[in-house]
Amino acid sequence: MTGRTRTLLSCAGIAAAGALAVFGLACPLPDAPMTGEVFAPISAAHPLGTNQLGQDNLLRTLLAAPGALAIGLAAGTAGLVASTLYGFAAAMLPPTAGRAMLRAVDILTALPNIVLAMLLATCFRPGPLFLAVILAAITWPAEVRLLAALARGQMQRDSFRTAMVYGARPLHLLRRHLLPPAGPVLAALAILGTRRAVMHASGLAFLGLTNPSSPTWGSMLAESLPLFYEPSAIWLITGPAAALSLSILGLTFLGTRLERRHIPTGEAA
Amino acid sequence: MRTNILTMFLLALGVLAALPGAPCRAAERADPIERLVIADTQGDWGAPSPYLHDKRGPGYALTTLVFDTLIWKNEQGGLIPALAASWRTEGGGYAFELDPAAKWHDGAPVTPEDVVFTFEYVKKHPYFNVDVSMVAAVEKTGPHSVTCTLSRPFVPFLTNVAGSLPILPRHVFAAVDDPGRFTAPKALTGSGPYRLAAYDQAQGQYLFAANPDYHLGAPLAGEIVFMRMSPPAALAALKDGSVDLATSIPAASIDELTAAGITCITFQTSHPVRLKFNHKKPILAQAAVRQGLAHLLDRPRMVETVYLGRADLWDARGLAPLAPGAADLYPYDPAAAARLLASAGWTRQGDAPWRTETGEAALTLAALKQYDALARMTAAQLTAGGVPVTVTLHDRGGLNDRLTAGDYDLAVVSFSQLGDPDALRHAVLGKRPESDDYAADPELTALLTAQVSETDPAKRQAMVDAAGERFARELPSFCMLSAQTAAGSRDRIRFFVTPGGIGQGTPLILNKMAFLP
Amino acid sequence: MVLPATQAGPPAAARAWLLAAAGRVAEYLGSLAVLAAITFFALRALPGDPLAILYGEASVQGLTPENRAILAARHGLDASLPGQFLHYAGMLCGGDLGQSARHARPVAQVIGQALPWTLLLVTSATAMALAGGLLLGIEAGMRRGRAADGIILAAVTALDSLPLFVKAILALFALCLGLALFPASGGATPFTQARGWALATDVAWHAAVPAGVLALHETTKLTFIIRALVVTVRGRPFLTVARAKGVGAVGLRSRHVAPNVMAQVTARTAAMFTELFAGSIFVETVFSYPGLGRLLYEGIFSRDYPLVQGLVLVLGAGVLTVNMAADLVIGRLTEREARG
Repeated sequence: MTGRTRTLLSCAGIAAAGALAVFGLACPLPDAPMTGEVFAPISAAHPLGTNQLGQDNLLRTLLAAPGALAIGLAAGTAGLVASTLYGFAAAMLPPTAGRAMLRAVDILTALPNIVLAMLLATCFRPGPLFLAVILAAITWPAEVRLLAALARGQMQRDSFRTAMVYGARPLHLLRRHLLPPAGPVLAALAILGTRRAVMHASGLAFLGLTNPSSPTWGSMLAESLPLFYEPSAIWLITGPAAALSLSILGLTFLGTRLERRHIPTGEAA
Repeated sequence: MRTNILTMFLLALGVLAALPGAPCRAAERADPIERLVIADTQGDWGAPSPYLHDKRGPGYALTTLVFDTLIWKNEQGGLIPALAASWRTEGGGYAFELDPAAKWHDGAPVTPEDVVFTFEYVKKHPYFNVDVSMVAAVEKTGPHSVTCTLSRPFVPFLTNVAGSLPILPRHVFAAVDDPGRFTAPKALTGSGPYRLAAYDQAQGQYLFAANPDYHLGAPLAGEIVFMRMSPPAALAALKDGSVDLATSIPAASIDELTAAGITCITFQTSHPVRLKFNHKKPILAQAAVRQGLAHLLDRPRMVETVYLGRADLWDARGLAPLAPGAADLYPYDPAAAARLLASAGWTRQGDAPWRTETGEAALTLAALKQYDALARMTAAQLTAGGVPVTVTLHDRGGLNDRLTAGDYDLAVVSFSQLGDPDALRHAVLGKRPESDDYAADPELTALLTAQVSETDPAKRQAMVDAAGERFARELPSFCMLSAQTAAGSRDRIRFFVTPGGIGQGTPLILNKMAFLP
Repeated sequence: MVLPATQAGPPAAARAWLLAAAGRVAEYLGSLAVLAAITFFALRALPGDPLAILYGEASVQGLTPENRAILAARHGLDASLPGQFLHYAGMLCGGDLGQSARHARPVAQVIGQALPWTLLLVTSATAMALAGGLLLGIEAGMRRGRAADGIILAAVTALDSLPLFVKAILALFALCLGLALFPASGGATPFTQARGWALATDVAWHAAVPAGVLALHETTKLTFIIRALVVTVRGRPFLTVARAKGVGAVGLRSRHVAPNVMAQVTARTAAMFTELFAGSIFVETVFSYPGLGRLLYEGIFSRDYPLVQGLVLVLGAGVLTVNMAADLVIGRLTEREARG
């Protein structure tokens, strides 16, 4: 595959992901219609049965997909942008300031992020957009140290030093010298961040901290928990649990492939 | 399981020990029960002392096992003696004759000084479960008698105050300045049928030991264990015998439990879920609009789907479930709804949404997260009827904020309407965020304020009924339905549901009279 | 941060060491102070009146303005915001965590009763995750590219993609209710009279499934990391020498491979502790297990400010301590590696 094809493919991929994120957040799909068949067993008309309000489980699982992935993507990339800017700033600023910034991040990671999520979710009305913001807010400190180390590594190179001697501005340095070599790492981290955000989103929904106007997989699982005594309850969890597992698995594979190729682990051949 | 074997062993011991000297009582259960195990979904309701317990119903119920009130309710909801052997109305108040046999857990007798002290103490340090603002003076009038004088006529006094206020021991609490921080074991000195023997707050477990010298008779169960168990665990434990009572079982499991020989007691919680209208907003200011929206709701369908049939339709008059055979004032009737909305000036083109003079009639619905399914169904039904509704879910703090700020059109709220009919006054005129705060109908306000001091029961009932009729017509909030709840019991002790709730109106199965012979 | 190696004579060395240690302690206390401040203000930014939430359901008439004033004074919520903060800071310096509003007892007591359960859960989960991760990771790394490696990786990835609460629910229904091998709720049999070994067995039996589910959640990440490290270590000469000397498979893994991955594993353990605390909320919910997670969750919803503030401080202090300990251990291990 030539470099140009690869660039085109990655641009197309980014564009598709961006469209999915924007679409999923801005236009949440409407909820499934409420039929009269409550807790219907699996049949041709309802491959996964219906829930307590007569809504088709399979349809709701599919309707939740763009939203879940959109939230994950938005939260993952927003978190990554935040941690990239922060990490690179920590590397470029004088050492004392940089160390202080990293220490601040350590304090933030000392707080179990679920607490911060609960506080934020209780404060704002967590529709899909706010949920993405909250997820980004709790996951962004995780990769800061790695990115700072990466930036510091790049800053040792001659091209960077020369540019600094010639008086290049920080923004230019960031755009031309730090971002391009870090591209693949950032892509891998974005995927992993999305995966983490999808997990966290379902966890928050399970705790009852989200406000879905359209169904999400976590909220579907939370709804099913008190109904575990219903014989047809097993179908209430099959759809969202399988969807969650499959999407997280898929993102994991994608992420580890990118990670293996680009993030050095010192792995012997 | 170890617990099972232990319980069986102790039971056997208890039976063997009791056989030779068991007193012959004409009671249903002649052998004393060594230990009774009660499973609860939450478990921890605070220490069972008036100022320490969790403010919600079950916290109060556990406190009543340890502390007595002056009078109490029996299985029929009638008033029976507790610390007061008899009572009568006297002048502008009530006179109580205390039972001379009543004793505190440390052996001291319960005296009129304790009652006088309790009322004074509660005035200084408010006990929020009971309102005593109408009590003007409490005086000792004899070696075993007390008189309470009221500052204004308050008909619900016997149930809401005398039947709810736990009496405190003067010799313990007189020296306590901050009852909220008094957590020493002496704070649990009550006069009730049980003593707290052990309390593990982290695990949510209580061990109550019987007070054999209780003045109304020795309790039937030697020990009560009250513990937290998740619903699936409680169901399994009920079936295998390690739990004797589960305070709340999911409705869907009633059939399988009955098949396994467990008695399932289903009762009404009397917490009607109401659709609250923001009548201060111009779009909902007309009663016709509110009535029209009420007709767009198909409540029997809500009962079938959201509550799986385990709920009762509530009468729009506010205080009782819809009596079987009675006419529903607001049945599902889109034609009537259309008529009412049109009479209020709303217009509609075919199947398009309704429009007012100012634009499309789109409304917001705020609800607690636990009413998610009901709120969504309500919104769907209203939208299908031509009034688009968007749902936002909140936790209690967020919802309270929105209700107080008036930042909503519709809201789904629920609170108790059990007990004395005075609850209707608090619902309509009260200042709680969930109350209607409705003052637009002076006749309704007058009726509600007057009924609380009307001593003639027949006249009072007529006033309450008239108020209910007006309330249903004005409809500041529409009582839709109220869920049933169920408890599962192995019948080692016969539990019952108290009509009117225990105390002021707590719909729980834990009436201490069940534990007494 | 590794404490500076001694270069100058003993007095100067001792001084340098003291300075560094003092700096570390100051950082620790500073972090706690920042944590306390953030929690304090974040809690008060939450919507709703905390008194109405705590007391509103007590009676049908709700909270009257007079009662509200009394309660505000009782809970210290009547002063201005900076005033409340100064009062709280003063209490903290005196070591007083305050009184829990919902539980009507000192916060220290509430936390003290629940803390042992959470510690038990988290430490046993850490131990199990370490053991499992080391075992699986080393095996997968040593047999890289072969069938065993593929199977382990596949199983671990599949388990990893299930959210924690789904794993917990499945474990509850399969092990505790279906097969009835383990108790389905509680930390120990209620009011058990057992003491000593019998009590320990009872508690362990109740903790087995919750801790196991938590451990499973962390084993996956650990397995990946250890596997990657083992693959790096595998090619090194000392291992070939050991194999040539005839050291058996077990000896190879335990005495030669494992010590070399411990530094990184220790670093990961510190992060694992934080994640386990967060995960304990879900596990405590599903298994009705006593602990801090459930207290925290309920405390936020019931706006029990003193309790949530105390919990965050305790959790934060715990995590910072673990981090510090891990830093020291890593320092020692890397020193030893550099020396030998």
